[in-house]
Amino acid sequence: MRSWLDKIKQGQLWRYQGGVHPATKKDNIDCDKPETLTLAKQLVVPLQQHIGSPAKVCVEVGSTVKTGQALTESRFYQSPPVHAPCCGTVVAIEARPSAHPSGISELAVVIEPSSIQDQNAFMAPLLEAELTPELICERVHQAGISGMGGAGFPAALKISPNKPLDVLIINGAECEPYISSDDCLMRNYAEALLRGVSLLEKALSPKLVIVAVEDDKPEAIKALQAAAGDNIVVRAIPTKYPSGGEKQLVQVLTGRELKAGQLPIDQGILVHNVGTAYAVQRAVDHGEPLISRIVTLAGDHVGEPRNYWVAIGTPVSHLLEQQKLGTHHQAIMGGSMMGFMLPNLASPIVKTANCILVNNTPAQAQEQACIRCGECAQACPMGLLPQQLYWYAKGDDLEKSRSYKLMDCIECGACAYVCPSAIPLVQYYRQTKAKVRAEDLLAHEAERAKQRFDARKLRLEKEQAERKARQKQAAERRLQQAQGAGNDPVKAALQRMQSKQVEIKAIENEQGELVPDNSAAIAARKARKAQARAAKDAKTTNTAVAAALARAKAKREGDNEQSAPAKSDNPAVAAAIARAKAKRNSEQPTEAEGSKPATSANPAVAAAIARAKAKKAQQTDASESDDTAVKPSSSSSNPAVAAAIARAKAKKQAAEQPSANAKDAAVAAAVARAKAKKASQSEQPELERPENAESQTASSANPAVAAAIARAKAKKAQAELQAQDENAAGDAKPAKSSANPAVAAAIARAKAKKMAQEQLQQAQNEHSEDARPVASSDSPVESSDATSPPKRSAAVAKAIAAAKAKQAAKAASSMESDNDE
Amino acid sequence: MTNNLLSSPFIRKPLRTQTLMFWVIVCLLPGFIAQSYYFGIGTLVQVLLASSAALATETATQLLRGRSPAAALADNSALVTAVLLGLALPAYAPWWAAVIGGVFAIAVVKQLYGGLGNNLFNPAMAAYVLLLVSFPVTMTSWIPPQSLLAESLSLSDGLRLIFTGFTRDGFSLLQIASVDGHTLATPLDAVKTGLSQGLMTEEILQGVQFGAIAGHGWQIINLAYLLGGCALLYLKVIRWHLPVAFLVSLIVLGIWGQLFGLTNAAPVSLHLLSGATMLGAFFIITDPVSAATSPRGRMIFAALIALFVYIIRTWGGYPDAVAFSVLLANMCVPMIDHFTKTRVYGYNVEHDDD
Repeated sequence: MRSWLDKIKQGQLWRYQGGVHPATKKDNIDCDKPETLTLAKQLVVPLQQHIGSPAKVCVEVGSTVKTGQALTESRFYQSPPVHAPCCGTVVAIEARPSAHPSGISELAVVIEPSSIQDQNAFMAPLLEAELTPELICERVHQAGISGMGGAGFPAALKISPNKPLDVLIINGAECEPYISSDDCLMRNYAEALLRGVSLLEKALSPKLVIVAVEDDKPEAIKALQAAAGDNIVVRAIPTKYPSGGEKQLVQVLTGRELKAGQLPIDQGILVHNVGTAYAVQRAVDHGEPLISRIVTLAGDHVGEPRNYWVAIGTPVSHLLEQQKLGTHHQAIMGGSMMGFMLPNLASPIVKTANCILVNNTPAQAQEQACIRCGECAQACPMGLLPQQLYWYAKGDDLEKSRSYKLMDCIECGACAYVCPSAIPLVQYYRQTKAKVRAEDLLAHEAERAKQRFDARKLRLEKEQAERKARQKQAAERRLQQAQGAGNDPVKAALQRMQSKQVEIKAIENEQGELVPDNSAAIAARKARKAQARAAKDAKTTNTAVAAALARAKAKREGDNEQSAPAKSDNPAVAAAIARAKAKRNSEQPTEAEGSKPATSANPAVAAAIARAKAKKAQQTDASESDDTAVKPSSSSSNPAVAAAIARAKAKKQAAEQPSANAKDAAVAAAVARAKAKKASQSEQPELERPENAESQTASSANPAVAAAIARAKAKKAQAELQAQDENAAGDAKPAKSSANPAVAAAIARAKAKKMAQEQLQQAQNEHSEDARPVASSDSPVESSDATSPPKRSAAVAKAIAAAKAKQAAKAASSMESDNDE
Repeated sequence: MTNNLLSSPFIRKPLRTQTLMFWVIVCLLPGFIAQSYYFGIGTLVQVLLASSAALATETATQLLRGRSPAAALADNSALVTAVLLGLALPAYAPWWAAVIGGVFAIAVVKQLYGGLGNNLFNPAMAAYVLLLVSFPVTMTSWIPPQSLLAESLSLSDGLRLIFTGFTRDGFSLLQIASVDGHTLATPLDAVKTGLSQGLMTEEILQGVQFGAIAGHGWQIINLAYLLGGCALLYLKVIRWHLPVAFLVSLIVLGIWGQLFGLTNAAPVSLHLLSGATMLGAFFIITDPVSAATSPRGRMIFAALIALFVYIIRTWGGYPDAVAFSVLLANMCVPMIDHFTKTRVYGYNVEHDDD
């Protein structure tokens, strides 16, 4: 048995059911080389001349365009662009009557041709060597080619199939009466057309290419056969309407029937119009986009029915003028079977417009009763029962219409053509189809609405169930509590409330103002900020800096002793606070007993000593530097030094920023400093000094200042102790200290620190690790922290105090270094 | 520019309903002429009577329904119905038979169902059956062909018979219809009677009313209708499915009956060329309105009529059976249509080659 393809190759033809044989009326139509129609005064190029979506306009009103210049652009194949059919100026981009049965206005680019048509913007021809399927596809898209048989399906979309192709059919079966534009094309441009076919072949690589022509066009068949190579079969098929329909042509040539909803490509078949093939050739070999087409002008009123090359966008009225036909005529676009009456002769010729018919307006035949003659059923190429469909259409029975496959009607008009009762069947079907579509849409939307409703109902039910479950659980818990503790839950809650209030009150008392205890929150926020900054300043911040800053802060926060340690959940803050507390503890013994060794044993004190040491080290490193000892420190490799420097810097910043509300703190700091100096000058017993200082501090109501003073005192005490031990140094210092008490204090402090150095080591390591995250944030947070003014002023005061002390130490630095050496 | 926007297609086949109906009437002419030749003026009078009654009824009902009578009359469908009824009636049936038939066919069978295209039953046959059931004697009183009559019936005698029941000489129809003192039955009647009396078919066919092939006169009339039917086919007014299926079925049934030696089986030729066989095959069962719609359905419809005809002719109580058979088949049409839907393109596709 011969294979399917062999059968086709050997010329077997199949039949399809139905079909009619209307008079072709093509005999007197001039199919010689068509003359090119002159340009109209205005060309109206609709943006959408295809099935799909319109592309984006890329010209503006007033733009000058050249022949073939793209007016719209899109990279999507479903939106082939349109092109300027001539040189000219874009005079409008507006809605114009379209080439549509409704005559509805559609967006169009209106071009006024210029007097000289000598420029074009064609694309570069593609060279044979570089042709690839993709390239051809892209070019077909760029050239704006859409199916020229009538439907206007974007050609590029059709020649980029993802399914294997057996048979490529080129449709030259122009089956409608009157239309002869394809016939004309095939007769006069057979070679170019076949070149286009081979380009399509190249793009699609089918196993077989057939050019199908109805046998009432012998000249066309002859011309094609003469030009066709071996690989292209030119096949004459019997003349019958609608053989040019895609489904029918496929059946005639291949015997294949497309299943409902199938496209030819699903069976390895593709159908292209001859006009499309020719346009592909123009686009590839000449770079010319689709800007003109052959249009048949025929009909009863047309004296010399013939074909013209017409620029896309030419108003139909301009075409009619060629045959001295006025606008009082009615014109049909397309054929007499499937065309439509143009409501407006200003409608333009579009890419799919193959024919303009100017016939006698047929007297509207009166629609008679259907006599169920069944002629329509015999004519229907789709095997439908038109009289039944008509019956259901009249009765608005959409369900029956559907079950009798109304939606498969191709609206070829064969049924209405044969109907003896002059029933406009196709019109009925169109209306019913629209109703069915509307109903489908409605059903679809209703379905979606139902889904939404169901989902919402489900959600609400679920929520309610959950709520009930929660309520039940709560009730059970209450019951359990009541039973287990024998307590009234309400009372318990009240108790909880009370205890909370007490806590809050205590804080308020300490603060002296009605400020809620948010220190923990502040600490946490600071920690967060610090973390962020720590990450940012990773380079400059090292562990020592962090430790130092944390320590300073912790000291301040240590004042809020009761709440802070308990509430802080940040280990770093907690550590700092703990440290600060420890320091305070160490200070208290100093005040009470004056026992210095105890202080040095305390890690916090050790840390302070370490700080002094660091300062000293810094000074030795940067002895030549002037008043700011900050900069050189950055080069310092000693972490301790860096820490000291950072601290100093922070303090200095804080000192520079004091504002009005920090004034009293500054005063307090000054007082404290004075006190400290005085203490060192008079060399009174430590036992008394701190007490004095303490009382003064208390009166200033600033614990931070007090802390600073206390620290200074402690340091001084240490220094004195040190002085006794080290004779060499001690000899020099008293003399100096009498002259400059600050220097003396600094020296003493330095000594003390040196002594405690060994003890410090491990303690500092621990501190640095714990406190790092909090560290570097100290100064900015202080300056920006507006929530607790007293605290801030305290910090500022402390910072100032520390800075002053440091400056004093610095002033004595040179001397000190000498002494050390 | 007019606002008269039409929908495609813009061309139509010139064959219109009124033309179709007109051609049907034209193609009835050979049969009518043959019938008139054998039975005289009576046939024409019956046709005219039925037509007048039908057209008047059509006009009246259209007016009652508030529609234009002109449009309804213009489609010629009522005329066809009336002509068929007139041809089916015995040539010298009383005038009121044709009138009752015409009024009934149009008013009840056609318009009561909604007018042209909506009637379930064939109007002419329904009216015929009504008359047959109501006036059995009148409806079976066919006079023998004129050539068999002792003295030919004059024009005035014919008219008198129809309108008064008696000729100028006072003869009734029954008296006229007797040959040599015996009432001469129609060929089909004769066969039925003869067979029931145990006569052999050959003996029966020896009777005076039989000609070379079938009944004398009737065979010619049937052949004339066959001629007209062929013209209809040629003119594509009707399609071949109905008549061919009907006749072929009848032939097959006739041969089957003879092969199996049914004692009361009439010969095939008698079936084909007697009574209303050819009139029915080409002009009655082809009424599109009451027939099945699809070609396959129509063939089933026609075969069914043939079966009914054969059964009634062979075993039934009525000599001819076309009218009853058509009505019975009409009843089956919705069912036939339902089960003979055409296969729509793209559904239940089978490819022989893959």
